[in-house]
Parts: sequence; C-alpha cells; structure tokens
Amino acid sequence: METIKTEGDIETIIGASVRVEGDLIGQNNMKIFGQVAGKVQTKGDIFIEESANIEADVEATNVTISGTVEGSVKAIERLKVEKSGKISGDIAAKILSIATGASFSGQCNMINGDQPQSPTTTSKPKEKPTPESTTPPKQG
Amino acid sequence: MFFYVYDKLVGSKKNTKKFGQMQTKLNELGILNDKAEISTTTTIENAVDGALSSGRHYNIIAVGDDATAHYTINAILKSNASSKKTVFGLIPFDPSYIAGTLGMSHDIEKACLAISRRKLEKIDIGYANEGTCFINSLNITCKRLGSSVGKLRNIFSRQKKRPTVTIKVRDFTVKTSAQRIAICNSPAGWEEILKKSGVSAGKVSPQDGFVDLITHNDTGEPAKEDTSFISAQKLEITSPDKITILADYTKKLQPPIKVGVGKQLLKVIVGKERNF
Repeated sequence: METIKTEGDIETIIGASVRVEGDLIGQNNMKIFGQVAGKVQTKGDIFIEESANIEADVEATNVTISGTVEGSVKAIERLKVEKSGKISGDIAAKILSIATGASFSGQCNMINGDQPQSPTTTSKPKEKPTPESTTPPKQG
Repeated sequence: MFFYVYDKLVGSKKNTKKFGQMQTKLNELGILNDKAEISTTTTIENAVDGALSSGRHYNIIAVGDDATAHYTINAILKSNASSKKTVFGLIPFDPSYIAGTLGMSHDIEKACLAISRRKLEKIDIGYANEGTCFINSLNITCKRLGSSVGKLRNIFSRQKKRPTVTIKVRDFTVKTSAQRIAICNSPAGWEEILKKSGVSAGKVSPQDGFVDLITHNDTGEPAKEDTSFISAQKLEITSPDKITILADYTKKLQPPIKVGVGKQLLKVIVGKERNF
C-alpha cells in the first residue's frame, strides 16, 4: 500500500496563523488562509480564501480568489474572483468570472490557446453589475 | 529468534497480571526467547546492540510505551550489527502513539499474536540533526512566559506572546505562532485535526518518503481555517524564542534542528489496525 509522491505532490494548506515568505511552488492543489509574500505557483488549483493576504505573483491551472492579492494572477484555465476577492495587479486567464462586490485594479489579458491576447485595461476598481458573469474562451 | 526489551514499567505492580498474560501467550506461541530488562546498568542501546551482535536475534521487540519504542528504534538504527534482516516490533503496555501507527493492539494477547504472525512493512524514519530518529513526529511545544508579570502579559495578550517558530522548507520559510506545530512521519495524534481540515490521514504516510509540517490553532473558530499542511523531504526549525521539540513524545531537543527522512529504513511488524 505504498503511496508514491513527488516533491510538493500533495494538497498544501497555509493556515490563517501562518506567514510564508519565498517561492511556494507545488504540483497539486493549494488552499491559502494566511499570508504569503513572494511567489505562488502550482500545476494544480489555488484557492485563496477570505482571510488570506497575498503579496505575490500567483500562477495555477484554476485560481479562485476570495481574499486579497497584491500581484499578478495567471490562471491557465479559469480565474474566479468571489465577491470578497480583491486583486491589485494584472490578471490573465482563459475563462474569467468576477462576482458582484469584488475589487480588481490592473490589466486583464484573456488567454486563448497558444495565442496570448493584447492586454485590456480595466477601470479601477471594477465591479460587475450582474451577480456573476463568465467570459468563455474566445474562439480562434 | 525474538529478543524482548522490557521497560521498567512492565515490571511494575499495576502490570503484574498483564506481564504474566504476555509471558504465557508468548510461550504458547513458541516465541518467548531472550529478553533484557532495562535498568541503570543495562541501557537499551547496549541490550539491542548485544542482541544484534550475537547473530541469533533479528526480531527486536520493545515491550513498554512510546519511550521504550523510540529508544529501541534508535538503538537498532545506530547499531553496526543491524542488517536487512533486522525487524522491530512493539508490545504496548501503556497508551502509545507508536502502537497506533503500527496497529498493535493494547490487548496483550492480540499484540502477541500479531508479533508471532510477523506481518512486515518497510517504513520511513524521520531524523533530527542526524542524531535522533523518530517514527511518528517531532512536536514543537512553546513555553509561555513563566514570571508573574509574564503570566499577566499572557492573559492580556495570548496570541502576541506565543513564541514564533520559523521552518525553512525548500525555497520558502513558514513563520507561525500556532499552538500546535509538528513534523509528522505518521498521522498518529493528528487524525482529528487532519480530518477537520479536509486532509485525509492517508496523506501523512510513513511510506511516502516525506514528512509533513502540520500547524494548528485551537481558537474556537472552525478548525479548517487554522490548520496548515505542507509536505517536504527536508526542513529546518529555528526560533528566537524558548521552545522544546519532543521526538516521538519522548526525547527533548533544542533548535536549530535540521529534519530529514530516510526512505523505508526500518522493517516493522504491523497489526491489522495500522494507520498507513
């Protein structure tokens, strides 16, 4: 019954009472409730919870933000900003959804397959009028 | 051949009946071979090294609690006479987290049966500063201020006065003042906290080549938001404050401590209820 793992190949949880400094790089899902300063990167998904305060660039397959991020956010697939989410930095994603009440200040770049789109400047801060809107991937 | 290392507590009055039961059962099973009772003149290291050096004993069975098991494992791993054939087993006489990891029943007859069945697994061993090995965990305990002024400060500022612990993991450092901090090779003692945090206890396995940093704050809030979980192969623990680190709830260590893991270093006898 041996479990085979590779470095970082497990769900990582950063608790509310914890501060991480440096490059937090992994392979699987991460949940962050605490503070991170540096870089956050995983091939899995990242959940930045309401109590989290991130001063770092974030990159993952899917990113869900309910807390505060100061830094760029790149989601290879989907970026979901919940109503309590605050982003101060540029974002890039294939699919983007921002809930009413969320705050976003920066540039938005929609990823379309291998062809990156030119950045779109957004208002600061931005609030969506509908409860939740989703931008599907653009067709080539 | 089986070699039994008895702790003093095994011979205590409260354990007389249990000890008799064990002797009878081991005799019935035909595995009551040699033994050494630990005393001021016979250390576990000497007893285990002597047994392994004799070339007759491969099965070293600790009879006692976590301390007996911890020091027996350290003695096996430090002995030059230890070989690939060497096997560790435990017959628990007191509550024991290591017994929980190995799935050894506190029912003496069941534990003796498991020893005789000799179902083996290879497990990882954590090490601290290369001088101490642990099978379960390193638990970091933070001392609160002891003076009367300090106690008052603690009352008014509980969170602020809790010592800070820094743990270096790969390319980042973790700083925390959590109430409970541990480096785990096995989930024993942390099952409930892991469950509440949505982490399966199976992810803390003594067979995966990793140790896991777990921190937990018990503030009455949902535990989910107060727990951290990070897997690593190497860690370094430091603190500017007075902290004590307990290996397997037994041996006291002081920081700085470099922690590593030796993959599948020890063969152990396991019972049905093992936690990996």
